[in-house]
Amino acid sequence: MWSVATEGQMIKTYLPMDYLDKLEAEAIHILREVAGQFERPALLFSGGKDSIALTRLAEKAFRPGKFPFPLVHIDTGHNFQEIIEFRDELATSLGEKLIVRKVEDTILTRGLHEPGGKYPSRNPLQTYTLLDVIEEFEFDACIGGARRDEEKARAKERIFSVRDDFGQWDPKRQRPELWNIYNGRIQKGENVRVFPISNWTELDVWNYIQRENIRLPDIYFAHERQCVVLPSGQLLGLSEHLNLDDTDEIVSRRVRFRTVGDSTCTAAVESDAASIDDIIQDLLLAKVSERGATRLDDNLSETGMEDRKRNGYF
Amino acid sequence: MDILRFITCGSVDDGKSTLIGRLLYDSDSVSLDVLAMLEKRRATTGGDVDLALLTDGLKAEREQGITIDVAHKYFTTPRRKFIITDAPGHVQYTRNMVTGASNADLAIVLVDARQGVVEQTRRHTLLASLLGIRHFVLAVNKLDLAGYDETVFQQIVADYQLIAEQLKLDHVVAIPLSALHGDNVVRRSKHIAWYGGPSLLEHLESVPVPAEANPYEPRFQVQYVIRPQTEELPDYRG
Ligand SMILES: Nc1nc2c(ncn2[C@@H]2O[C@H](COP(=O)(O)OP(=O)(O)OP(=O)(O)O)[C@@H](O)[C@H]2O)c(=O)[nH]1
Ligand SMILES: [Mg+2]
Repeated sequence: MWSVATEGQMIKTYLPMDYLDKLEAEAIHILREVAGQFERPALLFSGGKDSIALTRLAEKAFRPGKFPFPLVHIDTGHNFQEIIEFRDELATSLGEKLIVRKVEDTILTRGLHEPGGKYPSRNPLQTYTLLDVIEEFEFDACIGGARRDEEKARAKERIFSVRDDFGQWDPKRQRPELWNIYNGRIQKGENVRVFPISNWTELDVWNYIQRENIRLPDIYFAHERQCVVLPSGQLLGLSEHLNLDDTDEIVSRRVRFRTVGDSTCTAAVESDAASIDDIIQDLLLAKVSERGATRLDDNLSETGMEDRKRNGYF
Repeated sequence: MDILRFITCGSVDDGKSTLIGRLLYDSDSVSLDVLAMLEKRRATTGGDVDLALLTDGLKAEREQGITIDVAHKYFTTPRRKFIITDAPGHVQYTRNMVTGASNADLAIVLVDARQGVVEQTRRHTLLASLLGIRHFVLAVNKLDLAGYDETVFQQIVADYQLIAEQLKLDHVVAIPLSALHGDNVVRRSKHIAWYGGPSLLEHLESVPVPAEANPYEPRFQVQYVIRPQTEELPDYRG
């Protein structure tokens, strides 16, 4: 902040804003920009820490008013029960509208192939459900909690990311995006994905959760869980969606989740971190990235994320 | 803790992406799984690990070995948090560089020691200053290919000074370095003993972060009006 001297002359008393304040201000600005520029926005709510942080940012942006958008959850049917319960509680306590669409229904209506194998992931199929819900409600902007530090293709994406009729991202068509001016003008059929916390890192999100005292689902904190040991050494929480056989080794471990997604493709990490402080300490020492530690699907191909975005993914 | 946002710019192939890769690598900011990915790729292509791949994340970029659009990277040292924007050097993608530069506090302008100051060096410097960047680093790169020769460095500094004077750039710091070998990137180099200044990272950690607000001509943006119109707040406008 600058302060004004009595003579009407500026004096430089620059009190640097804390970096979290800056990131927060940027995110709030973006959320309000969405409200101002679009007719039918939606907030894609996964139940994970990033989208929970987004709801706090939306409260700061719009209270005492209501959110100018509903929360939309694409339910793979493979989510952890705790996440679903948390989602419903949060929507109720916020008093905001929650729209849930199930991948299971999309599989039926579109005649999609239900993925098989030992660890059947419905993660790629979410894209279809997302495109259907966008069409159903004619959403023109979908706000998401993706961060650029997550993955190298995300690191290339604009904050207002324009998608074509099929939700597809074309890196060659990215528009200029200068200063804090965001251009939401689109052609009919196109829509925009908006990422208010693009410039936050995993650690920033946790520092913010700590500062704001944000409640999270219990699975983010260390707990005892039955897990399958994967060939990579990663631990996958036991669930009825896995097709295990006699060769699988099942162990009980103290774990937490660094990210929550489809339970069939999101690994747990071994950890004793039972509080937000512990997790921040853990992260400061972490040698493996969030995706590297937890995602099974991205390790399949070097350009996995870019390919999925090109096909309409978040 | 404060944030410094900086951009790398300069002509195509001057080593911008490699420099950022080196900065991240030598400051221990690259996670093991990402390193494993680079190593896997090195094993198939041969040669050294290509640090530019840390920022060149698009398929087309990796195939063509050039940067097409800006990449954003993040790292923190005990002194400061950094938001890095890696810009493409190719003239065809200048508009993407402009997008990146618009939110930077500082520009690192790279020059290839063998090529010297070229048209794109001028263009990017001009654009960066036009967009309001006040702090510049002239990074004379690939000094390993010029025998770490001080006269090469001094000649480029002299050439660049002309641009700086023309554009009235007040804060320019010149640093001789090799992105590929890490000379003067994070640690000072013994190959460049004639240079007594800070390494690039030391400089980035200590340069003052400009105040983002212009205190003389405040602007008030109206983005959206909040009107809950509830019983308790029948006529609220925020
Ligand atoms: N010998 C040597 N080679 C370097 C150095 N820095 C970069 N290179 C090489 O120069 C080539 C281009 O490097 P990049 O980092 O891709 O260049 P860039 O400036 O990012 O290029 P664009 O983004 O496409 O404009 C690569 O082959 C690098 O290995 C250096 O300090 N010394
Ligand atoms: Mg490059």
